Amino acid sequence: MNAELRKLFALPTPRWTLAATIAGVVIAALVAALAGPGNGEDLLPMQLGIGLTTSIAAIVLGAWMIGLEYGQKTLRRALSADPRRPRLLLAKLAVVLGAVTVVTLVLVAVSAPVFSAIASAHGESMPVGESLQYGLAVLVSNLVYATVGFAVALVTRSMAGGMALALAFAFVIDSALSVIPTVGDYSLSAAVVELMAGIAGDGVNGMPSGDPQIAQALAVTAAWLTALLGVSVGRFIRSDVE
Amino acid sequence: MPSRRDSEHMLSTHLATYDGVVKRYGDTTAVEGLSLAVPEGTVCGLLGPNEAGKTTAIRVLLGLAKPSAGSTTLLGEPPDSPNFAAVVRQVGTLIEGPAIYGRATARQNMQIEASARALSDADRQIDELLALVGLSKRADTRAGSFSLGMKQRLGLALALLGGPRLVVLDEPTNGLDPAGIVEIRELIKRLPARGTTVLVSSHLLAEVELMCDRVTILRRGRLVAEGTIAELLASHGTAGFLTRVDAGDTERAELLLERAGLSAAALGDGLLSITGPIQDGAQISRTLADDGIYVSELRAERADLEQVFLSLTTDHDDAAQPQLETIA
Repeated sequence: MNAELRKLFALPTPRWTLAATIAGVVIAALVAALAGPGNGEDLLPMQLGIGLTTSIAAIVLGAWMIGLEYGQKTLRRALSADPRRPRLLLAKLAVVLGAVTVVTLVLVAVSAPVFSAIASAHGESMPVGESLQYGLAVLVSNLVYATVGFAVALVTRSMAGGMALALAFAFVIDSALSVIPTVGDYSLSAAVVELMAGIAGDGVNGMPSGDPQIAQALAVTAAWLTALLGVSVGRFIRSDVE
Repeated sequence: MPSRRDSEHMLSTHLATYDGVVKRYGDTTAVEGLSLAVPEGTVCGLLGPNEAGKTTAIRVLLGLAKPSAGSTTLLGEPPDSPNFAAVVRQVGTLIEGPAIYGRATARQNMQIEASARALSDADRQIDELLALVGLSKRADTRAGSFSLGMKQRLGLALALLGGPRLVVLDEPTNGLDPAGIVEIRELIKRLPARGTTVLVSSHLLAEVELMCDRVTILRRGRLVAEGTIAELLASHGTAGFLTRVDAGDTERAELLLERAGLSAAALGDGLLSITGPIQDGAQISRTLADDGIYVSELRAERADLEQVFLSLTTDHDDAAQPQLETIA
């Protein structure tokens, strides 16, 4: 775990990802300050500034953590230092999920009062408590998508390929699946939105109205993550290292 | 420096073993029935032409690739042993070039490796090793900007982190300049005295001859020769003889030797290079003396490692092919 933490702090990609994420939040705040936050109940600036940017960052970081070793051809070195492959993956995933949790929570904690103040200045209401609740919902989504990025990069054995495919899956493939009747109920994005609604309430754009089906959403999310991780981890453990 | 008793004990301990290892990739067999042991306290060379199976053999040993048949042990533990992870931490590696994080500095690379090996308080050791491989002044430079030789030095420093009992080095002098090659060679030769056994693969025969105690030669995945360099050279006997006769007798001497079933080539000033089924030097002097030619100089030309290597690894069918094409 220490080695993975060192990589997180020593290598530039996580720093650039963090910088881009902060820039996304700042831009969303500036736009809200200049143009107004819209209807205070829809938390649009929070969704763009925190939800979208941190989701992308989570996918990038998840794919980077394992794709890095393939990109730099350092996997054989990592496994020569400690050959326990499941342990290596577990350490990497734990560090990614930890980093995503810290970054999401810190950004939410800092930006929620800012967005609330911006909304008040425009005569709108964006209660800090509601923003924080939304932030928690985003955290759950980010943890899921960081895991997706990690699993996809492990399958593609490539950092760039893993990031591209994971982003395409999250924002194109899965989103397209989610609009198909019946099939869409079992898409990962639909399940994640249900989970977010369960945490943040249904007054947010994109959140389904009515009572969220938490149990089904949890089962669908678990099934997707188990399938993605099962395929990628199983292949990683069985295969020879290049 | 280990005592003589220590040395005897170490030589009886094998830090790495292969027992009938086979490794296939689809229809291609990379390693075929390899059995080998690396005694502690030695520098063992793994020699072979390209695609001989050297790197595959190393990857199998370290558990990076699973053998199709046979077994290996590293410090007495097979790869599926619960103790294998602890054993691997006592082994330093440099496989297929230095695997480094190019966007991290040399020092950060060392720190990452120290963390992966669970080495505590490694900072002093990192400084010492960077100094040992001549990278002290570039310790805080991004490793991606290094030349191949500098990356190779960093790879060696990474392999030596934690004072391993065994280091496995794949082409460690690759990319180094002549001075760097000498430096790294001398460093490798000193490692057994520091308690580190070395398994080094290379295609640089002169390097292997200068730094290895034992050599294993692979050809197309098979072990074709194994032993100390002296044993290998002795097993291949002499490469031929050099003899000197009176310059005026050179042509006649050539004819006499050829009649005796030997090949003789005049090198000038009465010097002849003789090859063929020679029993001993007396055979040559007797053959010439019987016709009144007396030799003033006669010496055996010892086969060097290169000749042994070529004789063991050259595929005669392949070698003949270009000649046939030229003739055609």
